[in-house]
This record gives sequence, structure tokens and C-alpha cells, in this order.
Amino acid sequence: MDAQLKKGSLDVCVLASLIEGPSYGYKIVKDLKEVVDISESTLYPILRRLEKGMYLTTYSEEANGRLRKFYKLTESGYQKILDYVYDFKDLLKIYKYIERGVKK
Amino acid sequence: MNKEKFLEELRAELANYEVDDIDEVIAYFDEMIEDRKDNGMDEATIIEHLDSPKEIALVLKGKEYKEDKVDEQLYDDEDHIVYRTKGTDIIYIKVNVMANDVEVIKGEDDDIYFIYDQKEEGRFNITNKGDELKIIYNGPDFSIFEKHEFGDLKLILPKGYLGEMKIETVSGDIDIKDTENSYLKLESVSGDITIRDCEINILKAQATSGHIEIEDTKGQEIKVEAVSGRIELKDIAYDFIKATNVSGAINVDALGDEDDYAIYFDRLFESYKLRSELKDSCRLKLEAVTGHIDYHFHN
Repeated sequence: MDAQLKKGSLDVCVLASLIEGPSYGYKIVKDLKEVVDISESTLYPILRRLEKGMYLTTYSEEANGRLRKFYKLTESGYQKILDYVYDFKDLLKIYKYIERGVKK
Repeated sequence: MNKEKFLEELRAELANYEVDDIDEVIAYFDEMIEDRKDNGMDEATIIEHLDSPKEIALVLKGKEYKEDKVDEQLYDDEDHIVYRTKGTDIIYIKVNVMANDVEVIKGEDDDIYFIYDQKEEGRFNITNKGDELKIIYNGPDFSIFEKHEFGDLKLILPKGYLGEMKIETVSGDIDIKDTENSYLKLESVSGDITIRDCEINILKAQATSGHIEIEDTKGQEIKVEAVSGRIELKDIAYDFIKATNVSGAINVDALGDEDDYAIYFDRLFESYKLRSELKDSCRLKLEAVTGHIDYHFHN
């Protein structure tokens, strides 16, 4: 897949994993592994980047006797997801055109 | 391996590659490992499935800087890893590679950037000892006939870098542009060496079958050696110029006045010496066995 396209999609994917509520590292990897090719190592820089961009915030909570870091979607994070879905509709139009060409 | 050892090694690699917020990274992986343990996996298996500490450090180093700090113009796309370090204290850079082409240019800030292809991830041993930066290719054995597999390397020097540099390649080409060094030594076996628009006080270049082309460069002393490759020195301004070749040609078109130079010309069946060497005179020494020699001076 095109590198730029993939990078943008992965970021939004991670944000989307937080729509239903805050989540933590291990759970995010588990949820996304079925959809995209992601590992613990590749998830970390994405989370950092999204945090720096203020698309998500973090907080720590005690669970199972240790501290667990949670990631929570922000307003701008949610907006970024909406933008992606909106943009994708345009992309879908272009895709249909290309696909039609290939089929001919 | 157990968790403690893994995290210890990870910490060391993160420090080695100067990744930011090491404690955060360790906490992240610590949590990951513990969560997996809670889900029934045993520690050893978990760690086996994780990337190695070195790989993690490289991913974080490359991606961290790719996203946040490096100027978009410095690299083309997602396919490169960028190593970046402060260059103000570095006085010596050593690069030792095999088939990669090496390009060196002067940068816009105080940092040293080392950019290489994603394909080559994990193949470079980069050590920064505060005043000395060493980049050594540590990859798998290769065949010089497979040169196309290897990505190019780009080394961007700090704006004010005046230190020493030594670059060695086997089949890679070396291309240096617009830099200022106090001492530069380049060695290649079959790669070509090209230097343009530089100011290098003491410049030594050696190629076995590669060609050496130096243009618009000035300094004090330049010594160039080739065996079968061509040596071309154009618009260079040096007090001491020495070029030695075996079967390759030597072509010198230097800036300056021929009368200022003591000239030694040595070729099979053809040797001469022009002008005696005075204490402070400039010198031009050209030696070849069968290669053709030609020199000119102009102002």
C-alpha cells in the first residue's frame, strides 16, 4: 500500500479504536491486529505522535496492582476521524473511476 | 530472556540511539509485557515475539524524527530512516561501508543527519562518543554485483562543521558537496569519488578502479591516488598538489600562477622538474606509470 496513505490511515485507525471509550496499549494492539498490520513497536510512535498533535490525551489508573496508561480521544481527535471518513468518500469516487478503467 | 533483561537491554539501546523519553518507552513495554502475562502467555514467549531492543530503538529513532523534527526536504519519502544527533561537539566522523553510495552535504543547522534506506534497517553500527561519530556497515555479506539492492546514504554535516572526516567504501561512490573540513580522507576500491565546491584543508583521496573528480575546491594540501581510474582536478586552489596514478590519466586544471609552483612530472620515459623548491613555494607533483598526464594553471 502507498506509504503516505498507509501512514495517515494507521493514525486514524488508532484514534478510531478509542471511539467507544479510553483504551490502553495492549488492548489497542489486540483490537487493531485484526484490521491492520501493527505491532507494539509500531504502535508506540503513532500514540506519541497523536498525543503531541493533541488528538488524544493520556492518564494513568491503577489496575491489577499496577499503573496502567490509558489513551482517550479528544474533540480534535474525533474531528480527525470524521475528516478521514469525509475525505474517503471523495477517494471512493476516484477509486470507482479507476476500477472501472481496469475492468474494461 | 526475562522481562528485566529485556527492559535493561532496551534501555541501553534507547540511550545508544538517543531516543527521547526513555522512561516512557520502558513503561510502555513493561505494561505490554505484564498485560500479556495476565492473559496467560509466559514471559519468555512474549519477549520472543517482540521486536529486539535494537530494532525497537531504531524504529523509535527513525519514526520519531521522521515525523516530528526533520525538514521535509531532507528526504524523499517514508522509505528512509533518519539518525540525527547534535553536531556541535563532534570533531571526527568516520564512515565505513561496502556497497552503499555515500553523499555528503552541508546542512542548515547544528545537527548531523545520517539518512538511509528502510531496507537497510539495523545494518549500521552508529556510535557517538561525544566528539567522535562512527558509522560502520554491519550488514550481511553481499556480492558487489548486486549493488542495486543497497540504498544510498546521505550524510548532512552541521553548518559550521570544520572537523575531520574519513569515508571508506568498497564499491560505493562517494559524493561530497559544499562542505568545509579540516581533514578529509576518502578511500574507495571500485566506487568513484567526486568532490565539488568544498573547502578542505588537507584532502586525501584514494581509489583503485574508481575515478576521482575534484572541482572548485580549495585548501592547503591535496593528495590523490588512483590505479586505473581517471584523476581530474579542475579549478582547484591548493598550495601542495600531488596526484599519482598507474594506468589511469591525470588531468589538472588548477587555479593559480604556474610560476608559483615547483613542478615534478614523472612518467615512464618522461620525467622532469621545473623550478627549484624554495621554502615556501607551492608544489605540484604528478606521477603516473602509463597514464597520460596533463596540467594547466589559470587565474
